Amino acid sequence: MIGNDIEIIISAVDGEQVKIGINAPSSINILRKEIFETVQQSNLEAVTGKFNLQKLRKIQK
Amino acid sequence: MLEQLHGKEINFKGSVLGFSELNKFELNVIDADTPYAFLQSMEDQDVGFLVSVPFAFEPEYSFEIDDHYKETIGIKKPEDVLVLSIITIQEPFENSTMNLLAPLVINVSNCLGSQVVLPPRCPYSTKEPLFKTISIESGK
Repeated sequence: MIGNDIEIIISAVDGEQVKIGINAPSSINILRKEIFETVQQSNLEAVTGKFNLQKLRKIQK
Repeated sequence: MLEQLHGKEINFKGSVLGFSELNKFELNVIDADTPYAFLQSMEDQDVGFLVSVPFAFEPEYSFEIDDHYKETIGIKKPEDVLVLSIITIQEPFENSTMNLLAPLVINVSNCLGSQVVLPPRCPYSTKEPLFKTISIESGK
């Protein structure tokens, strides 16, 4: 258990391979780390300041 | 639906990955006839995102919203949902991409929002081209 609400379970063992599962309340967001990092990276690349707004107004549809 | 949120403050409750300390964003529609809007952080003037309605570029786009996110922003019915995707601006603009792997889902009835990260099996990436080049079928 992690804290009162999160449970790590071993859902299968196959030779050297172990499958891990997580039980947690739906209020908790569970994400694979590489996905988290991919999205975070994309957000960081997409950030733009307010000063770009004028430039953006010239965007064609 | 985008127009009705113009000038409104949406609370993302720290769900935009990489910006967990930021909650309130103001949504400003860029121009009435376009699917673009600007999401400006009310807590950090240097943080803003160009966003768009993804269906204007990808009409077939669809996904399920996991219970966690439905709970976080209190979605009770589909009509309350507005989906926007963050655009990574490139030079020239035609090379820009949108994040379809992690759309921004807004509940228009309570102005709560969340960045929803779709499961790994979904067919979308964080860098889907906005403008697809139409290939001419010449048999090449």
